[in-house]
Amino acid sequence: MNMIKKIALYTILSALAFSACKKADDPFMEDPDKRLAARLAEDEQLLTSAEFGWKATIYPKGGKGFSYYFKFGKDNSVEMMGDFDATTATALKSSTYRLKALQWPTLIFDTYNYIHLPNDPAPGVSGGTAGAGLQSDFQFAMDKMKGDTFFLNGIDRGNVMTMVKLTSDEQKEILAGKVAQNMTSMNGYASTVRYPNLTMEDGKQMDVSISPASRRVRISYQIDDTNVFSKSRGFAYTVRGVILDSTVTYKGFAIRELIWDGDKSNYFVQNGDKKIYLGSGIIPVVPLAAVFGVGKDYTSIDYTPATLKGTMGTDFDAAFTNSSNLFKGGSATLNTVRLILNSDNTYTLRFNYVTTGSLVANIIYTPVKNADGSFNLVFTSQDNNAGVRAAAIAPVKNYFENTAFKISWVTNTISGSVLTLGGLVKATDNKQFFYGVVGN
Amino acid sequence: MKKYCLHIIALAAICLFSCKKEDDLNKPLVGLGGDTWAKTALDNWIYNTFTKPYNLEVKYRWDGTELDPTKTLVPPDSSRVRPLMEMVNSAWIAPYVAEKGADFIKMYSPKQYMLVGSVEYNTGGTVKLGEAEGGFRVTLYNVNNFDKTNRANVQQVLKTIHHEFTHILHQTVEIPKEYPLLTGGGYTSDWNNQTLTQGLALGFISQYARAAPNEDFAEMVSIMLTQGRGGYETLLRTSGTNVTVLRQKENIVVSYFKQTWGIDFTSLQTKVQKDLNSYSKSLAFAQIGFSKAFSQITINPALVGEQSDKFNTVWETAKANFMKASSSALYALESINIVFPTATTMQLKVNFRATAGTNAGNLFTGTYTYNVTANATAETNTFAYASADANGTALAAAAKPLTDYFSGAFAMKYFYTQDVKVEYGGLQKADDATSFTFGILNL
Repeated sequence: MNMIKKIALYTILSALAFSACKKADDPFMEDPDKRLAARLAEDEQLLTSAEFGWKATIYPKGGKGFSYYFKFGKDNSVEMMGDFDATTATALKSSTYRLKALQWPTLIFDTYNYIHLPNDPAPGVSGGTAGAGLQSDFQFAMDKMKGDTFFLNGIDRGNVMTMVKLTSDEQKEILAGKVAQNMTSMNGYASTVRYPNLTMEDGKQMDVSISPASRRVRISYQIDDTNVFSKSRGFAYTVRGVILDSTVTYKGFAIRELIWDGDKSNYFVQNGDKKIYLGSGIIPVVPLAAVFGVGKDYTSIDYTPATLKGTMGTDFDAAFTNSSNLFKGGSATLNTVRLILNSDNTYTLRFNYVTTGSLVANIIYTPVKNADGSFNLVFTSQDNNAGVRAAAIAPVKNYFENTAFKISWVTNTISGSVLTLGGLVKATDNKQFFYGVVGN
Repeated sequence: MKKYCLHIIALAAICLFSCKKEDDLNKPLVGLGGDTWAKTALDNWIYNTFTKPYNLEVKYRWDGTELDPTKTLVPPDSSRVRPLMEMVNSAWIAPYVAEKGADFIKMYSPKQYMLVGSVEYNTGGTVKLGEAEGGFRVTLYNVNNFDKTNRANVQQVLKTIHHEFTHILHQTVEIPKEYPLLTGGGYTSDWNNQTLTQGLALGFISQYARAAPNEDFAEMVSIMLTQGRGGYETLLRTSGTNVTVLRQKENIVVSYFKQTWGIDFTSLQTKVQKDLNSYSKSLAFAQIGFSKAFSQITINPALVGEQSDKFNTVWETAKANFMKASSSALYALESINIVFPTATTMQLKVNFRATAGTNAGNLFTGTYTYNVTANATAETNTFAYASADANGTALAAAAKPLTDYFSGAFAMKYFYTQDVKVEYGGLQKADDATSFTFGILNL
């Protein structure tokens, strides 16, 4: 057995020895340098072949998303517009590009233009961090053409940029400043519509929370009592509205774009022929209880009258006022009452107050669930300051003890305030609650 | 078995080694000769201004291989390149060429200028604005914020260039041995944590000058050239400055340039300043006056010509008046001094010599005092005639054309004569750019 194996091995080795030497110098494909040069020429032909230019999108590592209009000339010049800001979306700027064989055929935007803005290391320019910007790219390895989309990979930060050839009409719209209009529309929409949402065909409601400042959309819906589907996507502006960095799919309905309807001043999503317009609510549709928890979106509720700029007139306001007056009597100012969910699922009730310096008093509670889904807070321990200020904190402390609460969104009725509020609503009376700004 | 095995291996080895490949060594290399692209007007201008005459490459198109790959940087905006390089040409190359000829730049200049659009952020939070590598390459950052009319901005870029060029000069001919000994104990690698005030007190012109004697020398040269005499003297007026040591260093710099390179440093400095003042506003208002870098101007049209016609007329009339003022003494008007003895007064000192009579050969001075109202916004000084001393009163009528001329609003300015060898200071009527007078600036 061994013998046969060995003979076979040596036979193969000797066969290899004879066949290893191949004197033909011609590589099985053409000379790599020539192929590279040909590839570069091909790519240049591709870039300059788009007679109405290209639309490109890139979603930098450091956040946000950006869309660009490129028109490459055969003289190594490139004309650009982009959605970086109102100026770049309306004024064409010309600069240069060149193709170079680095480790891959590479497109380099080699003098400054709008594409460099997100990568500018000056935070005042890019809106990113000092020395890094938004970690975008301006040197791209030209990867492949797939369908109508040209894929390019950033060689410094690895961001993918996709480019699609424009039609004459699209080019006209971009040059006429349609993208800039959509940026204005978005800002208007986001500042007036508090909690945009979508109602899918099966009646499922989902929150579509849009932040134009960070160019992100978060789509979330409830799967069950405790589990929430939530995906955050960067977006860039287009002539139609905004385009997300990747698709969010609900039961076969793919959401990639929020398309602006100027007549209705509203966005809609489209899948095939099906259009669904965004709705709006006074609170998010996903219950706070589902997104409040350790490792979830929110872990604290912060009641600071100075931040709230008004009160809602619940019984908690009265309790706070009582405590506040008692603090004043003790030469201290009570600023904040904050309820914080700790990583061990206990709650800390924290009082921030000021004497000569800033001080805190903490009380730890353990939640005990009731049959109806509400919970009670059971006193567990308190720190030294809570002992020192026991009398002053008593009204608030008593408020939280011996009452069953449910956690829920609170409709913000403070005039002029746009803060998202959550609260602990009394199980016995949903008009009475502790409330504040949700955070983590 | 072992035997066969050895045979086979030996055979295989022979086969492998006997393999002879014949490469075609004459095959042309594809892509040799570096990057190519369609030349723009800017490329041609750079070629004709720097590359052709001085063999100096200016690289403004992005080339990541030339820069630190760990840093986030962006390429320059091509519209900023020409203004910047025009300044490099006129405020660095041209003054040296005027003093020493084009060969001097060809021989000693760095060979490559690398331009970067943004600053480079260092890990400590500071930023890098310029860098040089061994006399070969100078990298200029922050090109996208370059503004030719912003003097501080221009000075900062220009300082890097002059600083690095000084290194090349002293690497070619060593600086005098006594230079490092002047502040031998003050050099420290911890220079960036030492304040400028501490540096000045020890006799260093800048914080970075404390890094090493060669840096000290390059800082002296670059600051004297880019700040000009006015800026340099203003710096020396900082309280606590060790002026004695700095003057010794200054003398070594001036004599090094003269003796080693045959360059008149004052003349070089004047040419740099004249160029800077032609596109970025000079600091003459802040540098000429009471308690400023220069508090006195000596005007002598016979020595420093090229005065305005309007002033020359006034001067000639006054001169004739003085001749007639005394039939026996025959006073010859020689010069005037503009002196700022206090913040609110200016003295016009008229110097005249008796050319006949008992006092023949003696120099007299008539002093006329003006009140000064400074307008810091418009950068003008308004002079109002106030009084005269005994000599002044005696010759008031003769001096009237002069005393009248200096009444009113004036802008302080630096002036240059055709040869651009010395920087002069003077006054220009605020409402008439064709009426001015200037002379030698004194501390």
